Amino acid sequence: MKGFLHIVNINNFLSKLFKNQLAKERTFLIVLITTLTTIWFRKGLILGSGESGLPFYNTSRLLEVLKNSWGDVPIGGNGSIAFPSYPLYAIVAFFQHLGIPSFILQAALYWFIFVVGVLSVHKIASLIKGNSSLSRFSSALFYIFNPITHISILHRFQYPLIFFYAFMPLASLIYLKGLKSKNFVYLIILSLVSLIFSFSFVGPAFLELFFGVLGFLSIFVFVSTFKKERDYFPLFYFLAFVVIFSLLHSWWLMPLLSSVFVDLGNRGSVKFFNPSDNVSTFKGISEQVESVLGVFRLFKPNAYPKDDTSWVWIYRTAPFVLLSFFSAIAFILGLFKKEKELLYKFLILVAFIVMFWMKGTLAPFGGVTLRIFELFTFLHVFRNPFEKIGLLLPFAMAIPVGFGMVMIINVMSSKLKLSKRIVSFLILTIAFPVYMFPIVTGLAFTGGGPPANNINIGQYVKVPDYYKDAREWLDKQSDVFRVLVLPIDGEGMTYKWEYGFAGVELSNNLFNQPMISLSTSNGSLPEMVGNIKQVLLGYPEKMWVLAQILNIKYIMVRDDIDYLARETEAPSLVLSNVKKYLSQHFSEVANFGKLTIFELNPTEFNPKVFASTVPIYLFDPLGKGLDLIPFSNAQGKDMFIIASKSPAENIFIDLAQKAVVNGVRIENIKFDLNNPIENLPFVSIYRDTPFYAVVRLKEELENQLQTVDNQIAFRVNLLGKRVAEISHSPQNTSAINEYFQGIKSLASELTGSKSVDRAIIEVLINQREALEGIKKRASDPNTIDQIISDFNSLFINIGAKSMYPTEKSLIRRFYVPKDSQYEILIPKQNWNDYFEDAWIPEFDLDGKTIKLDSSQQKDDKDSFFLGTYKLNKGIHEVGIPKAKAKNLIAEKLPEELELSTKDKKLLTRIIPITQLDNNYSYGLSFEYLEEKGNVPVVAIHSDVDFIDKNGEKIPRHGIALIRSNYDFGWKKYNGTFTPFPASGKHYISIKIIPFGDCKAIVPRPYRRYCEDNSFNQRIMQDSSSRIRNLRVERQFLNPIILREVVTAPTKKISPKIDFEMISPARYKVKVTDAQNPFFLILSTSFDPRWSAYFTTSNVSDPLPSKNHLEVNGYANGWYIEKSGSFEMFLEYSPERIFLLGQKFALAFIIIAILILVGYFIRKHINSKSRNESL
Amino acid sequence: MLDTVIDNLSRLEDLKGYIPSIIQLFILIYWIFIIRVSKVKYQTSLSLSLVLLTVSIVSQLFNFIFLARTMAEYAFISLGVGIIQLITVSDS
Repeated sequence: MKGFLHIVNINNFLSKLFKNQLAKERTFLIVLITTLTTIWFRKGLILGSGESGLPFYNTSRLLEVLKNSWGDVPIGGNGSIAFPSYPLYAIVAFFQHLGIPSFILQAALYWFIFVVGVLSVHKIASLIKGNSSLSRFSSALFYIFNPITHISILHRFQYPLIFFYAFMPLASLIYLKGLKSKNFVYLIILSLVSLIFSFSFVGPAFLELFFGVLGFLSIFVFVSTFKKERDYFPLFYFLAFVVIFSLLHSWWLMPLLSSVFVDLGNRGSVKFFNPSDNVSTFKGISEQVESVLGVFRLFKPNAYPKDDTSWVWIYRTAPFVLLSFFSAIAFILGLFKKEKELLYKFLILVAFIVMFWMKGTLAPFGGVTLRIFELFTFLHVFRNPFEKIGLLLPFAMAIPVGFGMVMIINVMSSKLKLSKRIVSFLILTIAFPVYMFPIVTGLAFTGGGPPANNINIGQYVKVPDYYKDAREWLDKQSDVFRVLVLPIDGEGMTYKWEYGFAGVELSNNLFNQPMISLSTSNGSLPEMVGNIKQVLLGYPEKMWVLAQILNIKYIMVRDDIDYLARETEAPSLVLSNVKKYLSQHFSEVANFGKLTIFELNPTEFNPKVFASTVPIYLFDPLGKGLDLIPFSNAQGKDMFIIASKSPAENIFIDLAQKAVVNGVRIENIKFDLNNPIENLPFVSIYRDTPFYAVVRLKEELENQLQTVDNQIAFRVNLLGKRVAEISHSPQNTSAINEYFQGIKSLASELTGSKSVDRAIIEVLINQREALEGIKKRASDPNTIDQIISDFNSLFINIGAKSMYPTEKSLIRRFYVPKDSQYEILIPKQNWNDYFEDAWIPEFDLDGKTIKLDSSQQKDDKDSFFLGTYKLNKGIHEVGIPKAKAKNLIAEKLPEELELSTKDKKLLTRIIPITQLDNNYSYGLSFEYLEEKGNVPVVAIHSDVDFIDKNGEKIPRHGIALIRSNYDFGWKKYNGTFTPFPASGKHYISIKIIPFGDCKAIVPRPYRRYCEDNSFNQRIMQDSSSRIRNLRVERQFLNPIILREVVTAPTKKISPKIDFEMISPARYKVKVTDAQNPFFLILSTSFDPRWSAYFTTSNVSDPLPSKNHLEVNGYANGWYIEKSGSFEMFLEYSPERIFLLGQKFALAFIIIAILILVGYFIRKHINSKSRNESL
Repeated sequence: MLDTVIDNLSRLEDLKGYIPSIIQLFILIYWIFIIRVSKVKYQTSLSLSLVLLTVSIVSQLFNFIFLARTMAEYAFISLGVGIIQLITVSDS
């Protein structure tokens, strides 16, 4: 009986439901979205690509990283920017824990997003006067089926965009309802709802856009009604929303704002926020849109690239080009609607503002947009306006498009004399699902490079099971440790799985430990990864030292990546190198599918928190001190302090057991100057002529207009004009004095800059030589002498001249930190393979030549030793003669290579090169003589070159030789190249192409015959050239290093350290038996906000900041002067704000819920009492 | 002297990138003037925008890219003017 009643009730419910037209439409839309979601996830696989990675795989790991203000991934960093993603990860991880498959969770999310977004648009459409079933339905369909939804929501997998797509219409609806009814309760509802959609606020762009739209709505209502009502409520309403929202979202806003406004020098996010870069990115991305047509069509011209997937060609056909304008036309027609209330006008205005911004700097009025963008830095988050601001366009356009569609359907129906129902069906079907067929079929998840451009794979991802096995194995291992994943590359990775993945490197998502597997522009990570690669390639035996400072316990080599697509080393080569060169310190311990795991010898593993008493100082003026680690003679569990500034600024230098100093390259630049005065810029108006002042004014104005990059070159050129004036009137002392002042100011600028363009140095050398020539004629030779002397100092300071006289070709300058004995060593870098000289017979030390005979020369596998010398604190220079390089051409060539085409056919000559080490640069040189026709085309190919559609290899190094109409003799070519990382074999290809351009020669009417090969052959002629002295040599750029000799090794014993990791942001440390002052090292990225306390909690004062320093090139170190046994507490101080924010938000969420519950109870009681009184 | 003047005049060429914007600004100001003086309705601007967009579409179909882009730019200006009129002027 009960069951029967239940059925009756359902029937009642359904009959009620379908009597209501709005409910019918909503039900249909929900069924449509359910069908679409089913189609998208029909393969039972998760989807993923690009920057968002795979949030539906091993979500609990992503959640774990967000539980603290400091994330220890991969070498540590502040994670506040990602906190708003917490609710999604928490919900997904919860359901994953219950055993629900990830693809169902992802499908449910997509279903939810579309249902919320589309039904909100449908609801807003129903609020507009004159709406009809057709207009509402058209608006909703447009919101699902448009190119922005296709590309930005479905194809890009950017979760902030996905959440924003659903949330913006819903938020506008709730906000508007409260604004209309002047009821603040709606703000509480909206703020609570926004918690579910907080993923939208990962990154500031959508936060700004969200408040921008709601703020603009308030202002629009205020301005529109002010004349009549003089009501300030809309403004107060918005301010109230900002306050309520901020309180409820304080759990992520507080830590985020605290990290944004703190001054971290060049370490914080400000380091990567470069306004001039943002402006150029804004311009560049705007140019991709090509014209405002892209805005009308809602996609950029490159959105459907020609050669991507098998279906994109359809969008270039005439019917689809026509369809692409359909929504824009419907939108404009929708503006003709008679009654236009406030909301309608608001949406139209928002749509136009959005369109204006989407086109960026493009015409019309792109200059205005650019100026606004330059002026207001808060707009810089919209560097990609088409994607970011453009996301609002479907929402803002949807309602007018709905009304426009009604107009089109009405007109078509009356003109074609067809039933409105049939016309509606046809037009809505063609304009939406047919036009956006990739959304309907799931092809939206294909395209964008391999593997997704294969329509059978698309963006579906299936992580192989061996990752689960490897993860579980790593989880079982003891200690807190990191894993180094090889091959390692940049930020992205392409995985060659059955259903592969291309996008952000995934290891920190696939595993539960911090994996050093990628290089992002985050703190010291790029330098560290660069150094790992360098050590692995050049000094693999020293890899254990890096493993110790990075807390690495395991090395994982993966053989399932597309190394060619990512231009990195071949995994098989890496695996064999690890087995071959690292075997002394690392042993293979596990193998899972295509993953091989090696473990560092347990006795050599360095815990995450450890102590050291004597640091090794690594000095490198260029800041690349990590490069010196292989030469530091590290003994184990060492600590390094990397210094680039003046040694005087390093307060711990006296504690150091030794210093290793890298030299800066100095080049004695010399070139032939036949007539330096003739090389000066041409001057026609001299100082003694009446218009000289005008010329100077012009120069000054031009100087002001120069870009920063060009300014120095321009000023150097102007100084050249002054020298030309001095040459013209050598008696004029004012010209000399002015030049003197000019060169002084230029010198101070050049000395401060990191590197000076060689072309500028050459111009300055020419000016110096010209002054030498003028000196005899000048009235004030003393000042000229002074200028020449200043020039010499300048050249020394900028590395264009050695401080001590030397004729050696490889000169390095050292800033020695203290008086001591130093060994001079030269890293060999596989010397014997590339140089004929067996050793270095002599060298110059501070200008004095020291000869070495073979008995004096001792060397080891890695370096040549040039002896030990006492050096005082200060600047020193070492110069070595150029070593005789081996020619790396692997074929014996005749003295002259005669190359000529035969029978007007292309000739290709292949010349093999011996095995090249990919981490060095090489020089290619030859002489060539062009006898007839075209000059040769020379290219360096490798076994990993891309192959084009015609099967031709595309070289990574091509050389353009120049034909000369002046010099018909032998010409010399000199160039350099660096091999591609994954390449094995290399060869040179020399091509000779027959001479003649048919289309340029024959008259216009006959040009069509040029396509015919037999006709073309008549026009062509044979080319011929000769080549001699072809050489490939390694460039002689070996570093020179000074290593302090430790005469009496320090025997300071480090205390015993035990630690407990409470969280990645908090550590309890127990120090036992500290006999001397020591350094306590926490192997996570240095941040000045890390603090150390002499207690087990954070109640006392932290150690002063002078004791806190960056060590090992990335980590935190504290100099501790306390002895005995004691406990310490290490904390990332924003953790307190993070925890406080959580408590704060929780309290306000509870209060908000209570207010809401109270409000609805009161409302219910009031309505009940009203009913009773009736 | 003359050289300097010619030299400076030739620099005006650097401004040619701004010329389309200057013309568009001029058209906009002129247009607003006509609208204000002769009371052209927003429907006229929107209709013009539709016509220009249609020309742009046809040009695009026949691969006259430059014409398609230029017409789209003017359609955009017309649309903008129409929308500003629509927002600021009452329906009457």
